[in-house]
Amino acid sequence: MAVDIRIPVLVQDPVAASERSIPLMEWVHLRSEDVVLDGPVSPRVAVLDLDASTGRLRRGARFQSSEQEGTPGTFLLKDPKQLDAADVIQVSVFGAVLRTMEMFEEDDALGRKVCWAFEGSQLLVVPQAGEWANAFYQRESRSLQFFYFRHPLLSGRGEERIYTCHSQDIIAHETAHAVLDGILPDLYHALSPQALALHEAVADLTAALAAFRCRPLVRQVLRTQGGSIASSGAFSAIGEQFGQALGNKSHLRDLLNQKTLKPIDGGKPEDVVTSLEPHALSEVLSGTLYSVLLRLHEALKDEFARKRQARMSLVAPTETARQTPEDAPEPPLAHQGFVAEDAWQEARRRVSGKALAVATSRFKRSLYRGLDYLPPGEVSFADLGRAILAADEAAHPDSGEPRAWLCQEFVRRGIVKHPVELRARTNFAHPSLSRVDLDTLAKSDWAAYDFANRHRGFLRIPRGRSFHIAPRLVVEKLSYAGGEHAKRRVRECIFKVSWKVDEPDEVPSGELPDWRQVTFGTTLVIDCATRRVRVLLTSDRSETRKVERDGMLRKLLDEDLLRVGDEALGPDGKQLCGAIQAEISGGVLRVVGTAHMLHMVEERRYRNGGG
Amino acid sequence: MAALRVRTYSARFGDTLLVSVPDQDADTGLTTVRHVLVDAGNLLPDEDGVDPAFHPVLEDVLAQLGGAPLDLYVLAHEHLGHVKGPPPREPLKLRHAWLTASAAPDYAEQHHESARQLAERRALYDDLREYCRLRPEAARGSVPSLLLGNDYRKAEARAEFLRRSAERAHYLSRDASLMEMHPFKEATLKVWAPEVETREYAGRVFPVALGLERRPGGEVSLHVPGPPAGVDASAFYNLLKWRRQGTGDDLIAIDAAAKNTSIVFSLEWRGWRLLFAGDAGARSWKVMKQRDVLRPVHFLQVGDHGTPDEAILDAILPMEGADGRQRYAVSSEGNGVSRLRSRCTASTPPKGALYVDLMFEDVERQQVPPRLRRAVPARAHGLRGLTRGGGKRRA
Repeated sequence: MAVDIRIPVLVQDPVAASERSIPLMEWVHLRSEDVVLDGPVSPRVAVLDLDASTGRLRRGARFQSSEQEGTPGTFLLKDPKQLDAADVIQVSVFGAVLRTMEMFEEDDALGRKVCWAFEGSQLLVVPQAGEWANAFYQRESRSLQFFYFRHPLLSGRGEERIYTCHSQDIIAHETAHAVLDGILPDLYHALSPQALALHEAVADLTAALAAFRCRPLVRQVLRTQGGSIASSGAFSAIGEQFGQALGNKSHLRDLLNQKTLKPIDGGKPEDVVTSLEPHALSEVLSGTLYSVLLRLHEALKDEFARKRQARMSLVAPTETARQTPEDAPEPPLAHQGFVAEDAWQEARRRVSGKALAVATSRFKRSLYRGLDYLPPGEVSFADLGRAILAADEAAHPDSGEPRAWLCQEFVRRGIVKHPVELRARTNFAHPSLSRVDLDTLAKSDWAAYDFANRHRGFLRIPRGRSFHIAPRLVVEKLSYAGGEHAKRRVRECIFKVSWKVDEPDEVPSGELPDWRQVTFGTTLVIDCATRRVRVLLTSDRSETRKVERDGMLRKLLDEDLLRVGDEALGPDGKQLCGAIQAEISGGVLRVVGTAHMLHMVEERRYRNGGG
Repeated sequence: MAALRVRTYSARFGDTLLVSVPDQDADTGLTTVRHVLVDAGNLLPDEDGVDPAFHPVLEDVLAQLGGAPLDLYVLAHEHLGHVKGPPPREPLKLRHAWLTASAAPDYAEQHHESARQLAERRALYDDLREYCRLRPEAARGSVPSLLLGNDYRKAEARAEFLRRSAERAHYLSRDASLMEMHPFKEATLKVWAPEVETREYAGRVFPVALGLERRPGGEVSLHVPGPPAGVDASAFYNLLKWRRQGTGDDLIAIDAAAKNTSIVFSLEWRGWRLLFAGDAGARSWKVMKQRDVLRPVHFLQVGDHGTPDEAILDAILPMEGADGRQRYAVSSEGNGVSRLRSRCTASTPPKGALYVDLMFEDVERQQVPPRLRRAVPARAHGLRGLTRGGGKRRA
């Protein structure tokens, strides 16, 4: 049985909270862990406050379990306002990690507990990992590590210590990397720049979604910005305290951007991203998706200003049920005709909170479900676009307007040339499923391999190629169809098959073999009730992506990151942390662990004095 | 016919080159053979004050000088493998010594950020050495030799000895003027690297949690905590292991940062351009490329780091030489010289031999009689047609 706990988490970071005049902390209720111990430690997350300089483990915060039924357990903190205190750091990090995990696990998102990409059940969290201007998720050590760094005080007298674990968005970002690694483990070894950038973009978007859940922040921003989030960096700016301390910008990245992959009419040259660096490239994808969220928020404000429910093509009534209880007041402009501009804007402002709650729920749902639908192996932004569209259609079959916006934005930003590239066949019957016992397919590896082998063409597995099938997922998720009582649970089976392909390596280095191995795959999503195919998605295998992989390999070589064979070993014979490992077997290159590039800050910034 | 000679010694785990240049003074018409010693060191420990591998090298160097002063000593960078030099008791007189810019006594005052990073690397080195002392099983593979080679205290002591021995010590970076910094009248020298700000070469350093606990009084102990209640013990110890995993990266980063501050200089003499690259690594070559200093050369000394990458080689040793002259590369250890064979004649001291000589003959001029500085006995390895010279710095 889950333990109910009440726990403080930082709202943003100390600098952002001070600038926006919001409280530093908010207390949240969490109910996802079966056991909670001092530390804090739970079966899935353990905070280990290791002192980097002495190696000692600081005493963990003490957990006070519930004294009477109905009241939550909590942690005994000496002074919750003392942000530098070890117990406050330990507890707030634990809360922020769990809260991020819960966002993924909600019934309308993944609809299941997240599982890690590593052995074991515990994600270890080191909140004060040492002195460095960075934070990262590391699969090998099964951990999130948050560092701190010194920064000169504005007064010029002395230095202050900046803790990356004081930034709610950095914690959410790194937690998202860990969760995403569990969902899409192949991305850890992906060579496609867009696949790595996708990891980064989803982590940044998760940070924004976590910020949308901070009530004091939402209230403050909507009040000061006239009900709009379109001109505030409160949610979209990632790493504000961090970015300011590093000196160049007021943040590390901003989701509120106009970044494109190709020059567009009216666009600025500096907004065209030509770099293959995952952090830079990720801004195109995160900006694309965030702009759809903004558009949905604005459209919902228009609707809710006059009506209790938005039009069906936008969101289903069941999506807004939580924000529209029976006794909710009438919309500000209900039953009114034309009104003056001021009154119109005021009405929109009054409903902006409800619109934001509905928009962010919809956004989170489609994004996280889309991750489940992504094919294994190398993926592209377009792959994610197709997966989100399919997931959104499955969850909101009658509300397709935001899907059309998504397609438009993908085209506008140069991710695809035409909306048709994002089209995937959905909700169709296929003879291969007519006689399959779905329970057996889900539980039996033999049955799964047999099914894939018999339907290679359907699953797009190349002839004669061996393949790997991931454990099948059978999950229940909420669906929000049209109609008054159309919110229901749907059961789906997610079947993922991947295979290795040797592709020519056209990197003019003279040091690498002529071939390299990459992984592609297919995700088949089956509606368990109807036995129809929800969607069948296969990795983007276009020539453009292949050329980008050439570029990534060249970049890794140029930056002296790629190490082949024993070159990846340090002087002590152990694997180097800073190297991307490659192996050559049978004249084919295989690169592993490219996700080591995905630290909070790209390495180059650190090298140039970031740390 | 006059010839410039590059003698590359087989010093084992270190580099030593003696360059002997017939240098003509245009004013007097006299030619003087000037000697440049590029590095002198190895990592092997002395036995009873004598280094069995390095001693014959020094003997030969001194023999080549024949009692005359060494005109120029280039200490490429402060690594023990380069700076060991002659033992204090050897009667080597030294006119000019070139040291890397960051070895200057006032470097920290002029270049705060670079000096801060240097101090951090040294503190990290001290931690790693202490850790290996307390946990000997960590000092495996090539860790001991890296620790030895990067012992900055020993290297500094040797550099200090050089400073005191030389008539003049100079601290060089790319933008330094070489006026009055060398004795050459005819040959021209140019410094290609390093940049004066050594932070250009600071590599990736990973924070490592070694568990060193320093007590008042300087005592250091190693602390390994146990897993708290509820934490998977194997995951816990795996985490501790990974938090130390960066030690290899850090040792390499410390080593590479020092190597990348190598003085890289070219020496041009009668149509030949020779490049002495110290231990310049990838980052140093990259910076040189960015600063547009790379030019085709006829001779390349390859350092510890091995050969530069193909793009750099295309700039300094293109597949086809422009002037038809033979081109050479040499390494004291044979690090990757085979890669150069498609571009030039690559060599390394043969096994068992003390050195390998390369001769660069003056193909354009008529021979000018060398200036006689002092009579020395003829030796098997002497320069053809020339006596040895050097002499004191002119007023």
